Amino acid sequence: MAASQDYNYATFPTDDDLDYFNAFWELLKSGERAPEVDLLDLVSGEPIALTAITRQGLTIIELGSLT
Amino acid sequence: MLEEYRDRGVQSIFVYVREAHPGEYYPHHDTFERKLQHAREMQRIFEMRRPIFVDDLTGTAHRVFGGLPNMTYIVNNAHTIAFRSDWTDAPTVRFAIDYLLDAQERRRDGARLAPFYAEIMGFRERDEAAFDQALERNGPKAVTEMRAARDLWARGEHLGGVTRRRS
Repeated sequence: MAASQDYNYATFPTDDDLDYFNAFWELLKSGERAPEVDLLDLVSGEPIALTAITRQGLTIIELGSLT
Repeated sequence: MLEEYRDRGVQSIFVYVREAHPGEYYPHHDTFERKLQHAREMQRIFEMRRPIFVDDLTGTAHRVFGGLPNMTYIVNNAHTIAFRSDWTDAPTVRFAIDYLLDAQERRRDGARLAPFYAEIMGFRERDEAAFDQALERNGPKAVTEMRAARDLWARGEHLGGVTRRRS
């Protein structure tokens, strides 16, 4: 639960040097294998591996939220 | 944009992650059910037709992809990252897709292409009015917090790595 509270901040952090915000530049690069993660299909409610999606073809993946 | 490229084998998905600017109307996710509710609400408000997938409550996928609020990746069918950007900008995505499809076509035509690493500095149009309007939809708290953050950043305080890279 603590990990969830830490990740899902209730107040927008003014200090954007948080590890979570700086990770982008330290992690993946083009040419590397994308992470293998599981997601939940919003319509079916079923879990799905990202690899099962990307193997179908070139995939644009946008990450974001309503806010 | 999606329809234009679907026939060429390109698909587009949205991965729902944490709330970037939580407010009274759309607070931070304290349960997975709330996260699902917000994802459904986004789908309804923006009439989104592309598939939406939801990350878990602790942000497992979001973290390993870099943790920023609105990133875009393009991944090929070998699960290799072909493009990534720290912000989503449709013209830039189109630029990347066109480039990648062209490379695929040239390969099919017999060109011997070797992959190499490249980076660009992207430019996107800033629409502060639209951004502020979105904050209002989230609730007064989101507006107040962003205003406070902008004031701090304008004074050069709490100017972290992300802001420095974007200024």
